[in-house]
Amino acid sequence: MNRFISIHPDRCIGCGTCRAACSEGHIARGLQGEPRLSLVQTRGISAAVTCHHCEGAPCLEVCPVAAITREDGMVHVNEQHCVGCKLCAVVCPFGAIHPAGTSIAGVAGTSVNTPTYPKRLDPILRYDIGVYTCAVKCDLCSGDPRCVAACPTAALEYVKEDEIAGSIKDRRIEAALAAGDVQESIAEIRRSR
Amino acid sequence: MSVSIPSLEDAKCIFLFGYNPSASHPIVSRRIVRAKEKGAKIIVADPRVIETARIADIYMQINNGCNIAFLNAFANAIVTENLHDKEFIAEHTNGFDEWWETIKDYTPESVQHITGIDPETMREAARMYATAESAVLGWGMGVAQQKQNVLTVHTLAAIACITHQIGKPNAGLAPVRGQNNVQGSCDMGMLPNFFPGYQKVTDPAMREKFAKAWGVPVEKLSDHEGYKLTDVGHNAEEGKVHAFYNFGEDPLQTEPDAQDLKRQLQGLDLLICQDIFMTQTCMIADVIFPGTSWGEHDGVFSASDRTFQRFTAAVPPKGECKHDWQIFSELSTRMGYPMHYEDTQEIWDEMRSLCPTFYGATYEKMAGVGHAQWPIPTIEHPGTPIMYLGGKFTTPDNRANLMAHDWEPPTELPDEEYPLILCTVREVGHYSCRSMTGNCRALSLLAEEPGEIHIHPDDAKARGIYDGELVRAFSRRGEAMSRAVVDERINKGTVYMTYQWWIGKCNNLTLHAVDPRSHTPEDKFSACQVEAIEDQVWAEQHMQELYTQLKNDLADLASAQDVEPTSQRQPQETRESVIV
Repeated sequence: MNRFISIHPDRCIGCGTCRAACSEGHIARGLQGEPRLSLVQTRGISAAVTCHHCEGAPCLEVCPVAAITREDGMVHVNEQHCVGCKLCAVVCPFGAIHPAGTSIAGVAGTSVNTPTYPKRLDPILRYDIGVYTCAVKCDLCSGDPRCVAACPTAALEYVKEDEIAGSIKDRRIEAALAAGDVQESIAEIRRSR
Repeated sequence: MSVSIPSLEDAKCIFLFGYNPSASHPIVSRRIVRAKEKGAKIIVADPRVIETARIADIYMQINNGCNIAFLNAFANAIVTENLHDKEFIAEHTNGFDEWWETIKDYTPESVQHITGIDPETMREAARMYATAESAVLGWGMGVAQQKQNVLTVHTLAAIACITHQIGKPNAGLAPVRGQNNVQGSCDMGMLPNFFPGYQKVTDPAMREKFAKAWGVPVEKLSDHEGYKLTDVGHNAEEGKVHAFYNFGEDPLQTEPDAQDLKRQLQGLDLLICQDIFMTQTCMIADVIFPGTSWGEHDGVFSASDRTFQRFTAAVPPKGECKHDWQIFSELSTRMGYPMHYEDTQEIWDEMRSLCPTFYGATYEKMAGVGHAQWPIPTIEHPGTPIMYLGGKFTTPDNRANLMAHDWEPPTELPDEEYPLILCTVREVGHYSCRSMTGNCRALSLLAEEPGEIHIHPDDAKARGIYDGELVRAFSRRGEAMSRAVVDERINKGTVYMTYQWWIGKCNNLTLHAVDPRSHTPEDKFSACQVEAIEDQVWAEQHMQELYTQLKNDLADLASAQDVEPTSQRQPQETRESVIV
């Protein structure tokens, strides 16, 4: 069964701590510093959006170099094997995988960042001179997601097999109890008539 | 604030007015989320759909600049529905009838064109607040940085008093501070009218007490109120202020009409800056004292809810840096008043002995993760999480004085030339002037220059502006480049900028208008215009060039400090030649 991060929008305060923790966690493991969660804020909703680790993952299906694999219920990108073709980004229904690379600004001789495109350009279409891109997405931080631990309001939850089983069972019990309440109120209405 | 921050979780109703805790104080925001989960009713009145508005039971998207009109109508709704606590008003307040004389004209219907709020919704909110078992009324810079700020606070306090939502557990007023330890600065007398502990400089007995403790003739202590920060610029220009000792502050970033202020500060005879990083204000200083950062010194912070918390140094200062209190002591000694302290505890104990309200807040009580919440007059006193319990106020007759005021429109209204209302706000990822958080890798990754200008979809469309594009924002004072965020959470006709960006400096645009009492600038309301930039690639490059240039200038000036403290310093170019 797949594992993933689930989101409670009512708890989200839009602080972006998940993104900072994500970035730092990946840099510490020698991976791209690009945050793997995005923060979506509309008039009604604030929520982090990230990879669902789909069972029928389209990104995994289209990868031409097998850089994307399934490992223990989680969809994983090998950033070293990725060739930066961006097919995965095109097919992902959640916008949860996109290309990123390390800027060469700061490297000797190219100390100034010189943008060559407007920043509103879609990440899939961006191109920086000398920057080799690879696909980045949530990898659940090898089973210890940094974003979940960092969230100040517990708006993010790491969902694993055993927890899902428990919650489904609980929800069925709740449903049965609620049905009992409904029966009770129907009985009451009948009595009152 | 009259309540304590943890008690927010146990309030049965929280009413936020002009305060966005998710951006300014995420830790307070977390407590509001928990309160909601514990069943509290949440009311939000704010011109933006802030995060708390999404979980509010009643959200009112008020028009910008309507504060007193809204609150008077809210108070009117409470009284006309007979929801005020007559017994509490009679026993613990003064001036209700006079107060009502002003409030009675402000029906929710009569001010709907100013507030933008449906009268029935306002009445429902008034019922929810007034009838709650315990309610906290919280406000922030949406009240403080407005033309009628102090008057709005009077009105808010009156609303809590007439409904008896003050003076009982988990109920009261929760005004928050705009910066970390602003409460501490005020507590310690960093105000032009008070000695430490809110003891008036105009009170001869207080001057006598402090003169005796400090061993100086009483006439050496000023007997009149001094200038406020927002007065420094024009007073310098008028020749009333000749020297400015600025520490831990970057006014050229954070104060309104920054370009004019820069010109004024450059006219000073002496500008001293004490900071931990090179800032734009340090750049024009005559003398820079390098201070220490939070990890390098000991001290006590006061939270917004009057809680003293002690913190200790993790590492010793580097290079030439010294603790603020050491710099002050050495400067004082050289100016002819020998000042010497062994450590911060000695300073703290002297302060306690002179401030009756803080006397019980000993270092021992604050050891480890301990804390002390003032008023704490004796060593045995447990501290005061909730003030005014039983309706006992700190006025001479222990009764609250109800005050009401008429609404006035903001100073600079939008017009044809500058049709948009500019409101400057906080950003969760960066603190204040950004001199500290701008040096943090993870935080710069989340938000970078030139910052953002939030614009309503209709206003963006009318100007041909797309989400994520660089735009030019300008006012009668100046201009800045910023990145547009098309935002459906804000009122049409308004734009929002955060105030820590160097290239996207909103304070180039803001108006220097202050209220007559607190001299707080009207940062929440000024008129501006925004226009699209045709060549986005040019704009991106130009922005990077400006940013790189400024960073290099700051680094060049700071490099003077790149010497071993023991080695002999080489003669260097004067500051002026470096700037030129």
